[in-house]
Amino acid sequence: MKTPSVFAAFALVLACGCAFCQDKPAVQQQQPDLSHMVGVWRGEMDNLPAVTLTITDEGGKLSGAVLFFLHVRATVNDPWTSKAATAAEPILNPVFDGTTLRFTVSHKRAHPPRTLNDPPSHFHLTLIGPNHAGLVNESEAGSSDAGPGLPMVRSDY
Amino acid sequence: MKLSGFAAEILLMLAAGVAVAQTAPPVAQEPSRTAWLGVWQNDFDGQPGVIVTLADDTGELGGTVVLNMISRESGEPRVVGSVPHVMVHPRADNETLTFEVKTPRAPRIMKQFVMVLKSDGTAIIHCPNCDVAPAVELTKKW
Repeated sequence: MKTPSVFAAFALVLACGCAFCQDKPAVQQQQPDLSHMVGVWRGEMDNLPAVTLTITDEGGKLSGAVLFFLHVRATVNDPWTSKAATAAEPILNPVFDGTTLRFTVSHKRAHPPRTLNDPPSHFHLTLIGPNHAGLVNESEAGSSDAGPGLPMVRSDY
Repeated sequence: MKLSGFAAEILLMLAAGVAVAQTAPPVAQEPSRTAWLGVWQNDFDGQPGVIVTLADDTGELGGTVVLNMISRESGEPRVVGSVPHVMVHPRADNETLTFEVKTPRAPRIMKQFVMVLKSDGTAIIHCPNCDVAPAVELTKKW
């Protein structure tokens, strides 16, 4: 959701003002524990692979790769099968607050050439239990009503 | 036979039968980063084997590697496993791109990969510190 610029400017001024009001030195924020987030997350729809998300902190920073799957069938009488999308995409601008990982994924290479100018899609992955999380595509219509999102299960990477 | 594990993924490159000579022919003069950006792929029996995606959407070079596991168990070759790997420490140096990929299972060794751009627009990828991994030719899809 885009924030109206006036509201964003007001929020920025307010935030700056609050920062100046503080007479105590800023306390360094504790880094969230990444161990619950790092790994390979797999989500299924209709018992078929839907998305695989690999999260790692190798290289000293949080990074990841996401692979989406298409569900296809040759005819209406054939069973559905899962087929990986053409390529995996790196996750962009990942931010983890200890519970939720927010990131974006480029859509440019999804169905080229018609998608080459597409804006990135926004996702969040929220931990809901040990090795379990929900993945929400915020760019999809109705995502605000998506609840916990697509169930994802983590395994070690 | 169903392949599994990272070693099998590397072996897949060998089995692909698309191994090419380790020494690449003379390359184009100092291609920019742009030359690397996109999706690179090799095919094995009509199935995608190795897929490398390189992007700089954030201004920083990054990417992914998918090493597909292909099985002939049902007769026809088909992809039975696809795990996306994160490209770590990618560096584009003239005609060569290097990066590392984390070994998913113990021992946790970072596998080093080298991609060399050829003059015909294809690229050769190989893994110098993998047990068995011949060079494989990749074609840029887009």
